[in-house]
Amino acid sequence: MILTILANVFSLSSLLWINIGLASGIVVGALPGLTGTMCMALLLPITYGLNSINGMMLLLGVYCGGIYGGSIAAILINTPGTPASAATCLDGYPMARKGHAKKALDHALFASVVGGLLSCTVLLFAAPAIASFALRFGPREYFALALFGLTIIASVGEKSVLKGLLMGFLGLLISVVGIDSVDGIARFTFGNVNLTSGFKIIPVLIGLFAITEILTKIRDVNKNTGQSLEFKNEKVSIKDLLQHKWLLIKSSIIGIFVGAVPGTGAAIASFMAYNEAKRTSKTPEEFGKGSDEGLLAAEAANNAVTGGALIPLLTLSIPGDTNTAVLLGALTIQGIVPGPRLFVNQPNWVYTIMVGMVLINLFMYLQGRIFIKGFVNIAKISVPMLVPTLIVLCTIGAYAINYSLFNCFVMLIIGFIGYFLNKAGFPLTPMIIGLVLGNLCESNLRRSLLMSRGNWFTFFQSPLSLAFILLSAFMLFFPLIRRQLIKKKITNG
Amino acid sequence: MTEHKKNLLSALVFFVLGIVVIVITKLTIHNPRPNDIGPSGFPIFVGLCMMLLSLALAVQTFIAIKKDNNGNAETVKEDNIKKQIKDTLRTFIGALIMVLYIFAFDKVGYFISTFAMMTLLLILFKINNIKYYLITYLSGTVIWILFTYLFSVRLP
Repeated sequence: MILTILANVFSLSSLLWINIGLASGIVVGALPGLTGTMCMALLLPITYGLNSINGMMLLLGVYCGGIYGGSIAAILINTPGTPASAATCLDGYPMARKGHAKKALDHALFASVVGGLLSCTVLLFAAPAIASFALRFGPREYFALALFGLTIIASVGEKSVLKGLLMGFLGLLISVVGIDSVDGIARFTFGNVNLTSGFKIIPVLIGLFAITEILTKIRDVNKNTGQSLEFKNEKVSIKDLLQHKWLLIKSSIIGIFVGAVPGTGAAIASFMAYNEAKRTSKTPEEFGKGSDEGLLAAEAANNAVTGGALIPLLTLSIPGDTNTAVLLGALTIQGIVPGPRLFVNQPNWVYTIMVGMVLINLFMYLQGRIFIKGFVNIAKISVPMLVPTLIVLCTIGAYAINYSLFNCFVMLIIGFIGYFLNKAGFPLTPMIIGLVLGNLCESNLRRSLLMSRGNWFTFFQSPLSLAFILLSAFMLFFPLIRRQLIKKKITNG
Repeated sequence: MTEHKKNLLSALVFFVLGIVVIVITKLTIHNPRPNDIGPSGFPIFVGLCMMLLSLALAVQTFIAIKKDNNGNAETVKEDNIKKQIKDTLRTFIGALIMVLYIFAFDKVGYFISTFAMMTLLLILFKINNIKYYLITYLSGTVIWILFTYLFSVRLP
């Protein structure tokens, strides 16, 4: 088995797709305002023509590269390339302003790789244990699990839980379009043959994440981004960086833990690690003025999220954030159903992906060292030149699914809806979570009810199902409890 | 449009959508078995939840409006309005170009439609530098080569 895994990971095609994914992720992540998620959505159609391992290597490369790439724009132009690198700006940009841009970029790269590698190690050991436990799941446990996944929507709803929930239900509504999986009855197809198999996930993803961002770019085309700084060649030794080894380990653990909790994300992890580093630092006054520790903590944590977020995705089929929701979409396209059964039926595939993640982080270090100067120029690419190219990529991506313009129009309509709703303060991630979990939730609900002859109490009779229902209730009310606690803290001074 | 108006409008849209979902489900989807939620159960549940949540959003917004009227009312600066209209108009034209591009994509072929879309967008962005046009056309050509030869996608 080990030999098969190594042969899969070190195959020429796998190495090629890892590097293409990484380079694409770093490039897009470094472009202010464009996220790795958007790049993943754009590259999804390409994975159609690849085998599932190469497809996943490409997307995981984009995922890891995208988070690291965001630090380049954060450090050089004080504009976080991705939300994950918002904390990087705090010390990365002041460090660059002092003339240490190269040092800041090297620090970010090293911390990102350490965070990524540590999270892969945890993934490798924790995921199989969780999966073996989850093998006891039947339809009612799967329904409760899907319900738990859906309540994450309340946590990812950013400012408004209500808006997050509404978007989640919109995603659920899109998921019911097409032939129903239990009785084979057409729903909301209106006689259109293109809708009988439901909405294809690729045009929806491209529309929601790419078209929405493109429209935002068109609106803000005249907005100035930060001032780009000069790049001087400075040498930073690994020995210097290893002086902060405990900080890197601590920040990575924070990142892994936050990543493994669905509904959180890299932005939260990096700020948590940054605050913890400041709290325990001997020089907290340096934070915000170009502190090495601040930068290392933020970057180690945000990249450590990658491995952590794969734990619930691979073992329980729960996407914890937008990136893993796209990954789940990609797996569905390939016919691979994540979850405990995957560890029994396709262990080689799972471990290849996990070992591949280690390799992705090592290649990220190599690409970072070799092409850092080239990546620096990416942050300077102008938006007007970028927008038309992105539109072409989106259109081809949607068109290539079955050579039909129908998917292109679905992409545009979803993109326009996403743009207006996002402008009105509605978060987009809950819609994707609703879309990808909708079918799992409904089909297992109906199977459970059929098996128990319509007994709704069946969900409370299984301890696992009951535990997930209680967890769901907690997740649903968690934002309200958190808000009340914050209010109390503020009033108590 | 103020934040409150946006919230009220979106609450109304979601409420109407919820009603439409329930009505369509009732009219078009019939349950094959009694004592089972059937294929119509889940869409009706989704529609109902949408209605309830949009009502809650509207109530929440009305409470916020009441609070604002007692304290600092939400205002939009006059200077920003002109800029907002300009930005919205540009976004609308950009969206229209995208729709036209997709209509033309299959009819006139990849190159003509793509280059026309690129030119229109660069004009919309008031780009005069010829270098920008050339680089954008080049990127369109590179994408065609990549998809046609590397990924074997047949483009019109």
